[in-house]
Amino acid sequence: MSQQPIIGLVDDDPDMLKALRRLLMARGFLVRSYSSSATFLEELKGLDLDAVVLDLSMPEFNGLELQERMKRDGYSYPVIFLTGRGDIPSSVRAIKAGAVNFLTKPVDDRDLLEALDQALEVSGRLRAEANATAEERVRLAKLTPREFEVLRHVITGRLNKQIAADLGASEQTIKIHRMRLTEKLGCPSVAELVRLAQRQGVDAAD
Amino acid sequence: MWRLALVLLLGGCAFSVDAKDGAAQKVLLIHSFGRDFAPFHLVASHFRSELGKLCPGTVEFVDASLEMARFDGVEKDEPLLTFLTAVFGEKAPDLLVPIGAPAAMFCHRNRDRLFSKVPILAVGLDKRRSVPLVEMPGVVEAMTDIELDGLMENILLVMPETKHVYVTMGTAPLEQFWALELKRAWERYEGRVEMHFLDGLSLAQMKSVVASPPKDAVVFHGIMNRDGAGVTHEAEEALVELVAVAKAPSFGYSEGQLGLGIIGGRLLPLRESAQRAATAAVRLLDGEDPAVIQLEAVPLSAPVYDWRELRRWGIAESTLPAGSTVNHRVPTLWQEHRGWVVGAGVVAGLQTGLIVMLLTARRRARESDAAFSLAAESVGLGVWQRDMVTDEIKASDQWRVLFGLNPSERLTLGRVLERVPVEEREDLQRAIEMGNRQGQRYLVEHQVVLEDGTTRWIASMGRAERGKGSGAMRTRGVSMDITERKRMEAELGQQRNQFAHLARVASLGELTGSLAHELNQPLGAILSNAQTGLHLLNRPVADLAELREILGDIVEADKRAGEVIVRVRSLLQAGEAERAAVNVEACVEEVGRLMRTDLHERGVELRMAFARDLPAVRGDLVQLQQVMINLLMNACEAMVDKEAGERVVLVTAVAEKDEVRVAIEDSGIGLPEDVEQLFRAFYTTKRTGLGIGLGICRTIMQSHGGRLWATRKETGSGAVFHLSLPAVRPLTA
Repeated sequence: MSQQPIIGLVDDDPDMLKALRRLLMARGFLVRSYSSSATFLEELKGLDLDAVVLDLSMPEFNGLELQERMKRDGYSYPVIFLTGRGDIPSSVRAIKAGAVNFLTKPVDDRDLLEALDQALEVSGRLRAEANATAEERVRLAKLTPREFEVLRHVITGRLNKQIAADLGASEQTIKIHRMRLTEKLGCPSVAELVRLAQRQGVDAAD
Repeated sequence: MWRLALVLLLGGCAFSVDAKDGAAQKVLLIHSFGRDFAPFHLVASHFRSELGKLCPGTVEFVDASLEMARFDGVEKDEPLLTFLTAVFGEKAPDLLVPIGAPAAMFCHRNRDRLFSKVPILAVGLDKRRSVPLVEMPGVVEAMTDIELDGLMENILLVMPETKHVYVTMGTAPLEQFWALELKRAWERYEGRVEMHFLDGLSLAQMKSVVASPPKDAVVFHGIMNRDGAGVTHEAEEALVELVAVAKAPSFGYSEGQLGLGIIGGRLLPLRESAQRAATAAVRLLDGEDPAVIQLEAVPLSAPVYDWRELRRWGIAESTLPAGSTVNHRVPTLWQEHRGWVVGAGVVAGLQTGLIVMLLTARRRARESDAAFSLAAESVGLGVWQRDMVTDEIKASDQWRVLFGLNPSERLTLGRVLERVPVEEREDLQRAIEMGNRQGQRYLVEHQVVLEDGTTRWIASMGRAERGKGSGAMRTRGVSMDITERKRMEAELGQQRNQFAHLARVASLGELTGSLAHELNQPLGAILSNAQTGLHLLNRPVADLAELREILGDIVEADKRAGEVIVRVRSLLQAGEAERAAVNVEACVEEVGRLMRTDLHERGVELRMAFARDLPAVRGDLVQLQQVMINLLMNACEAMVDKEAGERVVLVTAVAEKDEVRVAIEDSGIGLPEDVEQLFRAFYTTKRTGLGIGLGICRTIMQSHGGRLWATRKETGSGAVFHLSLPAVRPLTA
């Protein structure tokens, strides 16, 4: 990865926060650290994070509640929990809600770094997926209204002849539209067109 | 095949004005199971003694038995009929008394052939068991009315947590009848409790079942005269054996079972029903027309309980229904220390009861020493008898085992005393001699040293008796192992001291979540800092300024961890209470700090409001903090079901007269009807924990010259716990 990964760090204990921040920075991460879960949530909008490390037990709202609120607000950052005691019910809940890992304090740096590697892998994948989707959207926008209409018919699996009859055009015209939209979207097969349409929420024609 | 029992006994009225030509009136008792089977054996003996008391003339009782427990199915009435008619010959008895339904049916089947002119008084029948005999002319019936629902209601009232009911029942036809009735009657409790009918099992199998029951189980002891293996059990033998091993509370149906290990309840009033029957018998013997004698069915008795069993199972007397009687109280040192020795106390009580019962049984059946020894051994008692002329001691094998003596060796007092530690011998010998001289019953407790060097404590009860004719004396008695009881007595004092310590540890245990967190924070910081330091040192050029800062932070975090340890240690110390001036405000704040994490995790907000210039109080800071922790924990528990924003605990402190008053107010579920029960030892509504909290808290407050009480919140739901402590300096002039 060319850029330094950015980690969000929340712990209400100032000593612990400082120590973790120091550890992560020494390992080449950029760290945004917060001693209050409420402040972190307020500032989340302006941050572009790769992973989040949360203390489980905090005043205001605890790590699990913070995780829920982040999800609710549309932030799908991978989360690593730190806890002062092994608490199985909480860990189960956290993992079910999508936490990457659940570590017990005092945490060994190797464990934490390993967990962060995992988290960055997850966020990398999420980013790649998000990028691919954005790119497709741009390509889809390049279609003319007529080509878009033909796409809606093509993904139903109909033949050119049928589409031509439906749209009141010649079979030759449909063939040309079809060739153009395939080129623009970069999808040579019908199967790929169908998957793209699904990802982008394009409805098939009736 | 028939085993016939015929016993003639003279009743209590020796002198009779009415008896024609001085002849006694004869009453033929026909037993269903034999003279010694429950519950009829008690009905019969009560009836006998009551009639003896009531009747103006002399009554002779003749016993015959169907022996239903041993032989059923084959209704061979013939031999018994032949036998009875032969025995009575021309002179028929004056009254026929069948005891129990099988005997009543026997009379019904053979009414024509068995003294058809003689009136019949049927006793020991229940309303549920319809016997056609009662429809016949010349028959009066003394019935009982066992409300089966009432038996279950009693169980659920006394042990509301009950989930499983084990029902012990025999396999004789009468027992099967009742098993079926119970199954039917208790069907409607399905879902609330699970019924396990053990009829069909042998006694040994039943014992193993009740010895390891699931949680919240009770045992209901029905009639058990013949078990699933076909073995018969007289009187309440089976019950006694079962309760000796049962790890669950026992319930029963009859008065005859009370005192033998059942908790109690509304029971079949054997004595009362026998009394009523006896009054009818007097009238019948007096020649009154049976048709005009009507007896009402006797319902179950008023509730009656065995104190020792209530103690054993921790049942408060306040939970018993109104009008309950509690028997078998043991007003001794056991009562004072019941919390600690409840197990031992009940065992000792039960064993004492058994000794008495067995001695009584022995007196009744003097001729059957063998049977007595057998019964004694089954409950771990050793039986001995000493001939004062030859000095020879005859003892059961069990007794020899107790004293560690060879089964075949010849025993004398001297030989037995060798087993007793030297320093106790003289005292023991003196006690025995004195008992023998005075001819009174004596009880001695002494130690015995076994061959392998182990010692055990023995209690022996003995009584001197005059031998027949010769005037020579002999002594007889029983011995039992009381090592366990002795050990418990010794532990008692020690345990009381440990109790206070235990309370501390318990309150600390509740805090472990907090403490783990408090300790792991600084430890976590130390580890992360140290590992970062190592990582930085591996770089070609180490940043010394950074490293210095890291080391400084490590030192700080380490000090913090040390402070946590100091706090824990002071809470754990088992030393004497220290009295010093305590600042209430600081005390509460410190508790708030200790519990910070717990409060957070439970979503509880702690608010504090203190009056200005609060005087100090005198007390042990740590103990007062324990009380506070306990009260705050309770407040948290009480608010578990509240919405997150509504979980608020308010702690206020004000000065009032010469006291400082602290109030802890929560918005939880509130208080039970009987607020004081909260403060009783071992009361708890929590599923976990020792439940020692509030009782101990109050004791601690009282030892500070203060008080602890609870009130309902004035508005909304919730409880307020109040503490008052004397102020160090008086506020009023």
